[in-house]
Amino acid sequence: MELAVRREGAVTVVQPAGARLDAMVAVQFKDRMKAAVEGGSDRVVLDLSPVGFLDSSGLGAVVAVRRFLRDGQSLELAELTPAVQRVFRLTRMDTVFVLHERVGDALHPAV
Amino acid sequence: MPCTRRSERHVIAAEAGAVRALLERLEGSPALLALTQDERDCTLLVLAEAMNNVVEHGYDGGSGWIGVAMRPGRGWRIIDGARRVPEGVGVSAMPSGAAEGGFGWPLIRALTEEVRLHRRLGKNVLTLRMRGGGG
Repeated sequence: MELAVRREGAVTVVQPAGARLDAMVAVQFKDRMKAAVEGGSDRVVLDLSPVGFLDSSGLGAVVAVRRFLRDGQSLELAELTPAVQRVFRLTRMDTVFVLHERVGDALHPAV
Repeated sequence: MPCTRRSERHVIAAEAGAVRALLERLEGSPALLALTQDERDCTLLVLAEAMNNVVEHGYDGGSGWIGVAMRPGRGWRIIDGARRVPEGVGVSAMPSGAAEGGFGWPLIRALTEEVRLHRRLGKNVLTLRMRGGGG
């Protein structure tokens, strides 16, 4: 699974290219996210807007990325599609991450 | 004579790629297109979790097969020739905290109103009934 990594001011935004974050790509996603996080800024936002399907392997991979964060670095999630949002809600992983409705909300947080 | 198939019956290799290919095929099938988007999403997630369990734990990554059949009334039956599912696996609780695994069975339970797992003629038979209206 390809990841598009871009810098938006002080934030690194990572967007997966595939529509499915599942058992088939979970390990590859985790490895590529590790590289993106290591080269990323203190705030990394994972833009999940292209992902229409996430299974528990994909969810586990997203959670595992937290292990690669350095001190003071954060991983936030944005633009979860309804199917992806459901998985986070049912597993209560929506309480583990800061979630943004839009990537723009993460770039310009409300004060 | 009906020209669209409203039932689904498939046998696939127990591999992540084959699981994904079947889910993509089912997503566009008349049987699933007849459901609401929420019901379709939940059905595909439950089938994914059930099949992933067989691939990763049943056959331990080795070769094998999985049969998937639609049943009346939001039902599905998944059959495999893998080793017996250990007692208690299907009733595990949702992990707490920032867990990286163990979500599969709790997700299946959360989205179904009936789950029955039994061993028949050396095969695991998982019978599921989806909740109406999605999750």
